[in-house]
Amino acid sequence: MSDAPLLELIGVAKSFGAAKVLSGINLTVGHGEFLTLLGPSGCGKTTTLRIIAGFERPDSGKVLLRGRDVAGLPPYKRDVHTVFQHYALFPHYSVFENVAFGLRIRRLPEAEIQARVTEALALVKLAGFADRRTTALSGGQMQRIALARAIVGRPSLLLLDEPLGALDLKLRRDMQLELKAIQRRLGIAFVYVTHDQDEAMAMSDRIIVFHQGRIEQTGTPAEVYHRPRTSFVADFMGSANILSARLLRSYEGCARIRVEDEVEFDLPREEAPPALHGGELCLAVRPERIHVRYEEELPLRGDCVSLPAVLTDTVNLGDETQMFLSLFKKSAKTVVAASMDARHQTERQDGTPVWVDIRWKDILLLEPPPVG
Amino acid sequence: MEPDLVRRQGALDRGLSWLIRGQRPSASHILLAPATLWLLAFLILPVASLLSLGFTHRGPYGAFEWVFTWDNFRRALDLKYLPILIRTVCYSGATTALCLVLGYPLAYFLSFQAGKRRDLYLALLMIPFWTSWLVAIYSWIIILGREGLLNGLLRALGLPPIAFLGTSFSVILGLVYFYLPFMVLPLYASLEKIPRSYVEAAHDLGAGNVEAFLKVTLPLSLPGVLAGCILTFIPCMGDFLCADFLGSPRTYLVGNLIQNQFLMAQDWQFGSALTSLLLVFLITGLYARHRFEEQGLFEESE
Repeated sequence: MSDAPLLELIGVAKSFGAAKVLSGINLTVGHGEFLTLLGPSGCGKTTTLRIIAGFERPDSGKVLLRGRDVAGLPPYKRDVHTVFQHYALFPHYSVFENVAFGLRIRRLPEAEIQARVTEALALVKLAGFADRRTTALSGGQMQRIALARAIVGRPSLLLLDEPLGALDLKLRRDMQLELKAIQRRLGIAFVYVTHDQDEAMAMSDRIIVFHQGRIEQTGTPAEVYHRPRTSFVADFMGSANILSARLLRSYEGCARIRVEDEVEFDLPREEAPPALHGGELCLAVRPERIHVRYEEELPLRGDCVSLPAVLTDTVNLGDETQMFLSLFKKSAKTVVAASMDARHQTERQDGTPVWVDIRWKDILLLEPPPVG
Repeated sequence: MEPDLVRRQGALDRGLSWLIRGQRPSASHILLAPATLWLLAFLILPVASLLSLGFTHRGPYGAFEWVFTWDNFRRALDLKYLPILIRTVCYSGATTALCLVLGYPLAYFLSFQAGKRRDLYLALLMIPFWTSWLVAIYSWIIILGREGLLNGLLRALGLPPIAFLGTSFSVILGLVYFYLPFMVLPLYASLEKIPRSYVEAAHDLGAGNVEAFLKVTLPLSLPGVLAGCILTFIPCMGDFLCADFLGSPRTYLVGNLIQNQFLMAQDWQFGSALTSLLLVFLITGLYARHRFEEQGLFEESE
């Protein structure tokens, strides 16, 4: 019993009318884990959260909370609380009564309610706000009250549905750190829904990337970022240059790749590339992993591919310089390189011939996106 | 080229501001004018002249004599009319309460409907409202009458007939029938406005259906309850049709009293004094509600 994960979803599927929203969702949440469901809007992450909370019933599959199937249980019989996207604070109650709501339902003694609400408000740094009306609070304050209301009942699992989505960027950054700190301190498992990959990277122990109602990839932030399994994940987690490629030959520890039907090179690889029939695959390189070298400079040391290119445009973003490069004569595909190097900030004329160096390990070979 | 353009724009701005601030009427005045004139000519002036009639002397056979007097009000405040006022308040109160009891579940149900189904239900609700009151009230006479459908049913069951018509029961039934939409629509509007996430949050925090309703939905719908009660109570206070057709002298209401002064007794002066008093009574009630609202007792949700 104790070795069962806190939460487990097995083969969960859900449709709304004719629209299939989720299919074959399997996931686990460990005790005290910070798990993020990440994906673009409409990918099914919020529906998954609502199934865990009990607001939606899955069409099929199991929802195991500490090994017990709760798929048919209403939300008020689950030891799981939610921080809603738009907070859903009760406008007719004071801050104190909002936070005390769940405790009053459980008919706890008044003294304990007082103590726990005060403690929860202190935790979210709104100790002096107990008597305020919730309608007079700022977005950030409402967010904190919603969090206090959800944690005051000490759930074993807290669900957060884009809780920072309505806040401005700076406040969001601060709240990310604070949320993470609160999560560590309380030891409550968080399932966090967001479409913001920076947020997911900054906070999560593990990320599950959703795409079109399916789980695209599961892993730690570093795994998902550095070893994306599909072109969707590579593109969604940060930015990536995604090029179509073909596996021409694969022999001992090496693969010969033809990119955009134009440029060919050998790529040492231990495992076999995930190519489909006919050798179709995707090649992805992150902009910061492309080293641009002027013709008079020395090549990158170590194992890398060097390709000739033409500089087509340079954009200075302050700390970073973006360089747009044309590697291919036939296709109009442009490759973006990002450099923090000061020498790239002094502008070279567009049309300058350059070399592009990419380390072998920085070239990601991925499953191509499904057709259509 | 550029300074020229600036100069021209400045001239244009000045021209516009002259138009707006000048003696000419602004757009909003022009837009409001038809409605204002209409209200003035067909509501304010007639009502004012009717009400002023209450302060004048009644000549022989109801002739208008423009001589100031308090006589009509003195008569109207006579204690012999008090039972009628009390009865009217009781009937209106009972009607409002019944409409609330019947209307709340209906509005609650409606607030969960969407699209075409909701439109259909709302249309069904509005049908009594759109039906000619004459047709509707005669239908009730057919149902409630001594040889009516209801008594036919009782007879078929071997029970003695009941005189429904002429009782307070039939009058209140008629009032509820006519004024139910006045209760349901504001209730529906306020219930529909409550975000689903509030109820979900209550469930999420452990509240069952009953608790979530009592602690979240009901308190948040109170502005709608209040609006519905006022919209039902006020027209009930002035209604005379139900008592006239479905009632008897025992169910005589303020509305009937006023109606009689105009149509039977030819005493428009007294009728207008009664009307003034009823208006003062209702406006006082509305003002009290307004004060309550200012004190934040019925604060609207976001």
